[in-house]
Amino acid sequence: MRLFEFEGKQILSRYGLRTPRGKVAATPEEAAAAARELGGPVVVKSQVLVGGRGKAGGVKFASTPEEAKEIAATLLGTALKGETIKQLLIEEQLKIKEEYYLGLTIDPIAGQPVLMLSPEGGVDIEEVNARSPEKIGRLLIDVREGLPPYAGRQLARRMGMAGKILVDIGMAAAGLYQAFRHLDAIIAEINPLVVTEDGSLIAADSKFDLDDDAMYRHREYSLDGRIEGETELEKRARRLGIKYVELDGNIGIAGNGAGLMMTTVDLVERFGGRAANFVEAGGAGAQAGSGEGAINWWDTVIQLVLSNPKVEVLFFNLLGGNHRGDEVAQGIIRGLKNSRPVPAVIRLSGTRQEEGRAILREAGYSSYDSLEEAAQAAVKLAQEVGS
Amino acid sequence: MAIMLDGTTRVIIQGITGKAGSYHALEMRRQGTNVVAGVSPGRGGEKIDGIPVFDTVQEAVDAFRPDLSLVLVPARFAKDAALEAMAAGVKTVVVVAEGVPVHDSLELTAKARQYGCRVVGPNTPGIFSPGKAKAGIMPTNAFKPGHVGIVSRSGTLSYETASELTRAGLGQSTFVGLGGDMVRGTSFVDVLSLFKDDPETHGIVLIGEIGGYQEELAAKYIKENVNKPVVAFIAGRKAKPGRRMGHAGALVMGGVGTYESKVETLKEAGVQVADSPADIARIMARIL
Repeated sequence: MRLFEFEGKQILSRYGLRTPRGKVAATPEEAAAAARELGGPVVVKSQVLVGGRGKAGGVKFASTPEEAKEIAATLLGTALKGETIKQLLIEEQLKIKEEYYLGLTIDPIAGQPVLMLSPEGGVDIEEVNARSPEKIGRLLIDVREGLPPYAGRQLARRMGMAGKILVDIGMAAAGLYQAFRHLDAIIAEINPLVVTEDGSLIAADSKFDLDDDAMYRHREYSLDGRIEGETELEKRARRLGIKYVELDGNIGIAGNGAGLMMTTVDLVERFGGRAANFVEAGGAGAQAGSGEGAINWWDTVIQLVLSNPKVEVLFFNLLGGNHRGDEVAQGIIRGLKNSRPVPAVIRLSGTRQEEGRAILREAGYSSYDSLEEAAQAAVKLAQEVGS
Repeated sequence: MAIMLDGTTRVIIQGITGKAGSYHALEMRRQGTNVVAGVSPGRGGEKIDGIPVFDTVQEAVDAFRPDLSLVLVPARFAKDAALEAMAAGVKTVVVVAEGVPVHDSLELTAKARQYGCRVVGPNTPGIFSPGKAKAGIMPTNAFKPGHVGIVSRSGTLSYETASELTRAGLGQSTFVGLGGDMVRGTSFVDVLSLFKDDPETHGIVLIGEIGGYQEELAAKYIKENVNKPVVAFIAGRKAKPGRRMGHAGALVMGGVGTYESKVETLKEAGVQVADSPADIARIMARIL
């Protein structure tokens, strides 16, 4: 879950980093008042979660409160790369001498956090990495030891830094690491981390991406309205704990297992069809228990897939371990009855497959054992419906 | 032989008194697993179909010296349970839960290195050596004993593959699920290094996904160290960049971890790459 810049900066200052003086504004009047209170020239920064905000024109400079108000009026309510600007951060303008990049993320191969520091701040770090990877210093962190300030200073020395900034970078890295750990962040970045003309080290931007699986520990943040391009259906699915991905064909895919669902999408496309969406409901469905709970669960799942109007054919694919075929079959039938009748291809294998298939047969649905055969049948149906 | 798990492995189940715990304890025993004890805090002294339950892992260790703990507790308790097993000296810990916070996994893997413990998972169905023993939650009817080793990032996809192999008359030596999370205790390379020296494993199936660069490292390892035939399958060919395709680890960003780069690197290492789970079985049947 991404945080807005102003939320990230609140966190940074809690962990001892300096941030520019600033205020959040939701109307042009609030923007003007904020600028007046700050005094002097300000920056007006759109609070959006999409990347590349600056290049897209989401950050502007104002020398007076009136100008800040005018700029706010042009930004608020408009879309930046598809995301509506609802809030602005009004900040004092800094007199910048140097710009650095400081970030923490997780190295999946090492299975450890990695601290990154670069003297090339203020530009896209992936660009720096592609152009001159030697300009990014990296340090793997042992979570049992944490990141003491000296480790940050060592990395800064290795990157050729010298003088007072070493002390400040060490403290900033240590503070950022604490925030990264305490907030269950997957990414915590400051880009740029600036040195001003009077020699202060200030976090001029902030980017935090928190682990969705850990949000139960951070109830102060809600996912609603934050996920880039999330549709209403995706939101509903997320609240149910279902993994839902929208695509652009006409075959609705549901079943269990992320790997199996990805493969189902791949197979459908290989045989010339296109997936409208896919739902991975096995993991969350395990909580639904058995009996009526399980039947209702699969009913909900089918309804969710079919509430996307683009779906003309349902392709249900379940390879059950925990899930019982008889209960799943009843849930599918109920779901089709409760939403809308679309042609369905059902592949049902695993625990109690025979019982499940018998129930489907009785209700007039045929089922498949082979995934490839089922995928071919779904594509054929989708082509017939579409023509 | 088999890798990591056979009929002589002493297994405990943490969370044995839960619904999943008790169900899988009996399933596992039916598959030949030597389930010596269970652990559920506050439930010590009970028995699950004759299997003694302890309050702490330490007590189970004192009584039975288990080799492996299968952790079947919900995601938010998984770290604590796994750390308890490691601290008590259990050398293999299998964490099944889906949705374990990644920072918990960071701590788990760091502690595992310290204790010299192997963590499998999180978000894994576990380990299964058909005909010998099972430490996990996978459906057993898809598998049968034989000589193909399977290592996979995806649970269901490996059941799919196992049933296709079984249908083609190819049984399996051991299946190891690595789990679909971003940070995990065991890698493709860890498992490949065991399969390559296992006399019962004649061929290896590697099931990967888009995202990360584990498969690329596996390809390098295979090229340099593995003389047995390897057939691979990569899920997520049609995935959109920047979107998590169900698994936390299945995310293509900045051109890293694409389907194409994985397939190309594997092919370069002499691995045959299949188009579907059924195709894996067809290729393996031709080779073996």
